[in-house]
Parts: sequence; C-alpha cells; structure tokens
Amino acid sequence: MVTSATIYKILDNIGLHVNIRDVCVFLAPFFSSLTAISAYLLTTEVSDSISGLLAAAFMGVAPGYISRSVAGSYDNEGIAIFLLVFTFYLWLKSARTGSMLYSCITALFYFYMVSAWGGYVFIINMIPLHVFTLLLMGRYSNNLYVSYSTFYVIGTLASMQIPFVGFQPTFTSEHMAALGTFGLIQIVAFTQYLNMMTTRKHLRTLIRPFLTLIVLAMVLLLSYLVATKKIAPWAGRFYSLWDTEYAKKYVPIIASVSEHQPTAWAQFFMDLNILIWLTPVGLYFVMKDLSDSRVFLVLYAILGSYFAGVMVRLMLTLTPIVCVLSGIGLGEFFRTYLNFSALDNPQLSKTTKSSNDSSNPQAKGKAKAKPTPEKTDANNSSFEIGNEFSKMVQWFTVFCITLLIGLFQIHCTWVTSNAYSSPSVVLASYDSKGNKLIIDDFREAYNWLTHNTPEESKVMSWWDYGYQLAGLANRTTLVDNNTWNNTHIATMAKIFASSEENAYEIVNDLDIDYILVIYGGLLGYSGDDINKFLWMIRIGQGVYPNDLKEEKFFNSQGRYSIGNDASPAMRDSVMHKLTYYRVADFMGQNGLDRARGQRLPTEVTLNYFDEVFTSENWMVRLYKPKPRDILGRVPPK
Amino acid sequence: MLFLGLILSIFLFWQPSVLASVLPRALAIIPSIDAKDDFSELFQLIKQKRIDLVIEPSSSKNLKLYSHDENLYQHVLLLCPECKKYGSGLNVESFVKFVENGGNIVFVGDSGLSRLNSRLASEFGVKFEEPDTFVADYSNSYPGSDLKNTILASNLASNKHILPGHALNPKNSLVYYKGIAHSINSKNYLVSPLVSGSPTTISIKKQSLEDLTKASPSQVLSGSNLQLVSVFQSLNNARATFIGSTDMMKNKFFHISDSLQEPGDYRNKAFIDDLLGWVFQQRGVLKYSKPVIFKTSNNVSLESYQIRDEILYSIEISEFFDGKWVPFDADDVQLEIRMLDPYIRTTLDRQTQPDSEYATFSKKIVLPDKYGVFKFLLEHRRQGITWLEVTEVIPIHPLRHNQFPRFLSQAYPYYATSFLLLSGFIIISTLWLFSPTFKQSINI
Repeated sequence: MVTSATIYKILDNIGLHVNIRDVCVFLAPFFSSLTAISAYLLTTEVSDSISGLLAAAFMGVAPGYISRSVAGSYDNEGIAIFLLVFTFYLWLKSARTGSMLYSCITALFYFYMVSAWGGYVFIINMIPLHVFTLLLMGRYSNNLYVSYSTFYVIGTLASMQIPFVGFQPTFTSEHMAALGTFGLIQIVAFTQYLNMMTTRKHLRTLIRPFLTLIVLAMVLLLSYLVATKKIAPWAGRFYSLWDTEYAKKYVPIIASVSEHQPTAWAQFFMDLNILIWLTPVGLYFVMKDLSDSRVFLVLYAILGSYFAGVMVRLMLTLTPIVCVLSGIGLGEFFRTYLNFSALDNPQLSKTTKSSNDSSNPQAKGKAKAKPTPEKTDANNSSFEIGNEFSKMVQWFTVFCITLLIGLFQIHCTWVTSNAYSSPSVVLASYDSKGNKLIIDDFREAYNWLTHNTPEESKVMSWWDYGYQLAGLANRTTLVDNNTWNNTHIATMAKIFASSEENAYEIVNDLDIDYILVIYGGLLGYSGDDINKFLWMIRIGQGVYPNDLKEEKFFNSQGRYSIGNDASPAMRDSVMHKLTYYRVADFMGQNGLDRARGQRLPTEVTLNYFDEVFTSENWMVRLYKPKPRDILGRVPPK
Repeated sequence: MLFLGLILSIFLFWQPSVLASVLPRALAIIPSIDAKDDFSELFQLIKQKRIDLVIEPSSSKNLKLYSHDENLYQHVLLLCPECKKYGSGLNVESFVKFVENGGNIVFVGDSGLSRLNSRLASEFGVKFEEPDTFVADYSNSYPGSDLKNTILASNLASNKHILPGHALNPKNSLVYYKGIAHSINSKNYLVSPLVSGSPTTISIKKQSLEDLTKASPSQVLSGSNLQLVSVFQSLNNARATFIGSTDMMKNKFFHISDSLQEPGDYRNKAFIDDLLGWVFQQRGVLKYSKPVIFKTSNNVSLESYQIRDEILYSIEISEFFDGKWVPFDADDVQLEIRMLDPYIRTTLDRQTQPDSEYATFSKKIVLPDKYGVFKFLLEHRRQGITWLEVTEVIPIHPLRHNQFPRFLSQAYPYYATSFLLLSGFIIISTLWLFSPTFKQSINI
C-alpha cells in the first residue's frame, strides 16, 4: 500500500495524473515485470546471460506466478515475489564479491520484504541455511563472513522496525536459525583467524575444548529458553509445513483454507507445465559445476519443491527457482545444440581442439596433418555424412524443444485467461449451446445491502466474505479475512452450527442485523457454505468442545448428508435451515442439490429469522433475525 | 409520565367526554354491570390512585382498547374470567397490541377460565391450569366454613418495588386466595412469580378428588412451581399482573378477617393496593439522563477517545415512587465497555445531592488498551423496575505515530552504546593520529 501510494505520488509529481485505483490495478503487472528482470539478474549471476534471458521469459509467462500478478490482483504477494527474487540475487552477489555495499542493499530489500509479506521468514531461513551448508561443505570464505554478518545485523535491526515483527527476531523459533548461524559464523571466523596466527598443533589443543564448550553452552541455553517458553514455539502455520496432519488436528482454521491444502499433481502441471521437466535438467547442470552461489539454487529448489508440495499457496515461492533452473537447463541445451560451428568447420574445430589439448600445438598439428593426407580426406567425407546427419538431429531436436516452448506459451495463455483472470466475485458459466452466462449474484446481493440497509448495520457471514462485504457492500462485518481472533471465528461457527434458539441468543448478544449465507446448490457451485460447514464445525469445536461435535453432523450411515436423511443436529443447525429454507418449494419436492448431488430436504422451518433477500440464482441469501419479542415469547412473533 | 400526557392531549382533541380530566384512564371489564358492587372497594382503590376509571360489562358493544393505533386507556382490568368474548371483536391480538402500545393489564382469572382468556395469558408466558381445577391447601386453609377452599398464601416475593408494604414487614403478610393456579414459562424472563404456593399447595380437579391419588406427583402442579399471582413487564416497560382469583379482589375478601387483624398485618387490601400501584406505573419507573462521558485530563467530551484514556462516565437516574421523582437507590448499576466481548465491566458509584430528584452514577475508567468501535452499555434489569438499557457507541483510536513515548528506559543501553561508539571512534582516531607509528608512516 505504501508502495502504491509512493508510485502514485511520484507519477503525480512528474505530471502524470493517474487515478490511485489505476496504480493499484497495474501494480502487480508492473512488479511482475521487475520480477522477470530480477530473475534474469539472478540467473546471470550463477550462469550466463542466455540462461538469464530464458529464465526471465519463463518468469514472465509461468502461470504459477501469473496467478498473483494479473492486473487487478492487488495483493502483498504481487510485490513480495519480486522482492524475494531480487533479495536472493543481491545476496548471491554480495556473497560472491564479499561487498559490504551489496550486503547492505540486500538487507534493505529484506526490510522491504518484511514490511510487505509474512513470507519474509522464508528469506531469513533460506540465507542462513545457505551459509550453514557452505560452512559444512568447508567453503567458508571471508567474503561470506562479511556479507552474512552485515546482512544479518542490518537486516534484523531493520526488520524490527516493522511493528508486526517487533522483537520477534530475538525470541521466536522462526528466527533462531538465522541467529544461530550468525553465532556459528563468528566462531568459524575466529577459528580461521587463530589458524592464521598459530600453528596447527597449538590450535588443536586450544580449539577443541573451547568449541565444545561453546556449542554445549548454546545448546543448553536454547533448550532452557524453549523449555521455559522464553522462545516462542513455532506458529501453527509453520508446524503444518513439517507435519501435514498437524493443522488438521490442532488448528483447523489453518487447514480449512483451500490455499493451505497439499498441492495436487494436476496443480503442479497446470502451474508449471514443461518447467517441471526442465528443472531437473537445470539442477543437473548446476550440480555438475558447483559454486557457492549454485549451492544456494540447489537448496532453494529442494526446499521450494517440498513446501510447494505441502501447501498450494507456496507454489508461488517455488515458481521463481523453477524458472531459473529451467532457464539454466534450457540455456545449456541450446548452447550444445545450436553450436554448429563445431560441425561446419571440422578442420578448425579439430585444430582448436588439439590446440587446446596439447601444449605444443604447431608441432603436433603438423605431425598429424602431414603423414596421412588421404586418411584425413576419407575421414572428412565420412565426417561430412555424419555431419549432415547430426546436423539434422540437431535441427530436429531444436525444433522439438522450440515447439515444446511454443506449446508452453499457449498453455500459459490458456491457463491465465481461464483460471486466473476472472474475478472471483463474478462467475461465468456456459449453457448447452456454448453461450456465456454471467453469474453476478454476489454483486447483486452486496448492492442490495448497500441500498436497502442502514449504514451502521452489521452483517454476519463466514469470514471468507468479510472483505467483500466491507468493500463492496460497505457494511460492518463481524469477522473478515484478516481476523486474528480465533474465538470470534469460532463464535460464528457456533452460531451457524447451533439450533435456532441458541443461535438467536448469540446473534442478539452480538447485535447482528443481517446474516449472509452462500448456497450453490442451484448452480452447482461447490464453494458454498454447506460445503465449508464441516470446517466451521471443526473450527468451532476447538473453542467450544462442549457445544459442537463433528460426529453429530453425520447421519446414521456416517455420511455427510443434507437431505431428509440428515442427522438431527444437521437439520436443526442454523446453517442448514438458512441454506435450504424454501429451496424445496422452488425446486420441487424431488429436487436435487446440484452442488452435492443429493435430494433436497423438504421440510425446513425457520422461526427466528426472516428471509430478506435471495439473489437471482439463489447463491446469496440474506436473513434478518426477528426483533426481540416484546412479550418474551419463544420463538418471537 | 410526559409521554402519557402527550397521548392524552392528542386524545383530548376528539373525545369531548374526557375534556374535564387529564388523569390517566383505566378500563375495567366486568362480566355484567351487576358485578360492579362486588368490586366497589377495588374501584375505590383505583380512584384513590388518581385514575379515571371506566367500567364496562364484557358484552358492551363499544368496548375498544385503541383507535388509530393510539391507546384509549392506559390500563385495563380484566375481571371476567369466564368471558368467551369481549365486546364485538376484541381478541388476543388486540390485547397484545394494547400492551405493545404501552398499555398495562390486570388480568384476573379463576376456575372456569375461558379459552380466550387462557390463550391471552399464554401469550405472556403464563399457563393457567385446566378450567375445572382449583387450588387447595389443606394445611393452610381458611378455618371458617363460609369460605370453602380459601387458602392462606404467605409465600410472597419480597420486592420493594412491587410490594413495598410487604418488603418492609415480611413477617405478618398473608393473602387470602381462592381460585385457579398457573405456571410460568421459565424461558420467558419478562414474567416472574409474585405469590407462589407453599409446599403444601396443590392444584386439583373439582369433580374427582380421588384422581389426585392416582396422578403421579410430576403431573400435579404444586409447591413453589404453582403460581398464584405473577407479574410481567414487557420490553417496552408495559406492565401486567396475572391473578388466579377473582374473589381476592372482592370486597368480601378485603374484609375477611377484620376482627382478627392487628395493626401491622398485611392482607388482601394492602396487597392489591401495592400491586395495582406497581402495574399502573406509579412505582419502580425509572428515567435517566443522557450519559455524560468526558476525558478527566481536560474535562472535554469528545466524539471518540484514544486507548488508555481516563474518562469519567456518569449518568443520572431517577425513580418515580408514590407520586414523586426520587433519587434511584441501587448499588449494583454496572457499566460494560464491549466490542463483541466485554473489555471492562464495572459497578458505578452512586452519589446524591440533597433536594435533587436524581442520583448520579459515575466512575472513572481507564479505557481498554485496544482500539475499535466500542459499545458503552449500561444494562440494569431488575424485577419490578423499568428495564434500563443505555447504549452509547464510541470509537477508541490507537495512538498517533507521534504520541508514543520518545525515550524508553529499556532502551538506555542502546543509547549508551551508540554514544560510546561515537566517542570511542573519536578517541581511537585521535590516538592513532598522534601515535608514533602514524607519524612514521607519514614520514616515509
């Protein structure tokens, strides 16, 4: 937000009077172009410019990244990925050159990243891991020492200026790795220094007990701090990275987000396509000729693919490294296959080869060329045929790969236009003749709220719709997409899952004026509230274990049913009633819920709430709790 | 009271018959005009309360509770338990609407209660027993044979707002009662018992006393679950009372044991007098000023406050007691500052000034360290007095960026280090500049 405001002001000052909204809309595409440039820089840093250009090209079209960088997607991730890639580039550069200036710039960009996205934790763990691995590999250098120390100190101090982070770097587990590596590199540097100053023998006697002591003390201190809760344990989101079942068991609210689900293979294919196969190629070439910077790429690739496998959302962090490695792989490939000079001029190539081989080129070349001129000719002619053939093979291979890249481009365009460009508020569907139908129920309902309800009325919904309600309908919500208080979300879940009578009490207590539920059964829209309902119960169960029990919502056959055979708790729940109220009247007694393929419940009564609005396709349904009964009658009349 | 006056003044325009009076009006519906004499003392009591009483038989064609959504009476007494209909078309909804408009009802039932009356009572959460039942208590019944099945009810709720006479002297209270019992809906918090049965009181059928022995105890209404008189106050503070005995309102019961009575005794007449005073809004009515909220540091009242501001919340509450406004007497008036959950809940302190009709309830409060839109809610719900609910919605802001403390004591090590570094740099540079090695290097 600060970024867009800054851009807006700069444009305004240089005489380009742009609407702030336009700045926001085009912020993500603009930054994605910067990402492509930094991908080029990063790849060039470890490989050459051919690979760099290819990597930048991949970065520009990879759907995994386009999902967050289309025009109008105004999200933290938009700039965060640019910052991620650029910070890594700067880090590699500073680690290679040992330049303090570059380390400082790295730290500055790290600071920017901290202010932009919670995913900065990835950087602050990735860089220490790199340093640690290099230390383990015995690749310690003064350059590394200078760059890491500078980066860590400035980066940490800077990040502590962000209110959200505060003093976290000193006491949370997420930041401990960085601190530990910082300590370790100091010790290693000190050892190196001693190594320089003293003889080996002295050093041994000196260093052994000293090192053991320090390491022992550090481990003891760390375990003491963890045991006494001085160091905060890992946040739930990070635990779920190691133990994929963890979130489901203990923090259902994290597991309930579709972005936090493990990635399906189809998702990988859709987002990365041929890059999946190119990455190992790139990885191979990187491993073949390992340098300090290339170690980083390997580490990033391993961690990135692991994380992407655990959580759909982290596909975003995988995409840059996949593009870089594919760029390197493809670059190597083209360098080999497009190198016709070796074939066109075998003589030259031979001499150059031999000249390269031998220390005395002239003598050897002459000696070889002179005695058997015929043989050379014969060789040449057979070479000609072989040459033609291998040339064809070369051309064919190049053609195939180019075709593949072309297809990749087509795939990317298709994915972008079909999956990532449509706003989630307006849906599109096709009828039997292939005509496009626009389903605009959300905006219809939000408009209704804007025009028909008092400005200060409070609307309750599941938290997914909080931002939309606030932004599009301009109404107060109880929980939204940024709600940190798990209890509030669980309270909403409790309202939805309890009986009308109990829910009415809570609704009155919280001054709720309207209740919004999403019903997709008429359209076959599967992302509706009834399908999210099980997650709501799980989330509510964590806070209200006595009131909500997941198993009560399964019917006698153990199925999650919504029709007449649903469990009593399910049929009594407010969510079920609000969703299916009057639906059977509209669809007929034998109607089908198209989102779940089940029979509709036929008898749904509603005593405590009044239906006030239902959108065109019955997707959004709004209810108002009845006013408190003046005579205290139950249910109110 | 002002409100009632307002209604009256509107009313005066077109009802010339009441031009002479501006007193609140009550309507008493009796079975027939002959029954008027039985209740003469009751009516006398009402008139003494400076209420203009209109008495109509239930069959009267011009029975009307309201006209154009405006109540014609402030109070209605239903003294006709067996009436199957009221006037020409007054139904349950009419009475409910009358209460919704702010009217008060005295409902008197008895054995042989009609379905209409029974349904009317159930709207208020009062469930009367079947018409063919009556209340019996063989341990505490009236000794004389002239009044069969009259019981002595002594289980009176001690509420100083409803029954001040009883609350003052609870020992000698006794009510003579002959009629039907009822139970109240426990889910409805607006209705509460006033006279309940004692442990030996039961409700039984008239015809077959032997049925009683067959019925299981859970089917028989008895003990303190059995209500004789209940009071009701709706959310708009209209009041109603439900009495299961017509006889106890009659002259006969007012003087049932005059000969035995001692000066401090509290009997039917005093009881009815207290009860009617409460139902007719002459006691336990509260009024309050708009709460005054201001910052204590500069005595300024603002639209919004900042976190951890110290504010003073104060509200003036007055109670109408026997014809005049007096300071409201309570030590449990609480204020809640809530945003979904209550962040602060505190009891307000009461102060009174002499000769003031108000009591001031106030408290200095340090606002919560949490920003957001808060609701300042004063909710005081006690039986017998007006439901009090005063809400103010006030936003609380976070500190502005330049309002944080500039120098923190925890940060002094950092300040010290930075200055140490500066001075250390200067010292070392000076030493270096003037050191012999440096001079040597210059010379070379």
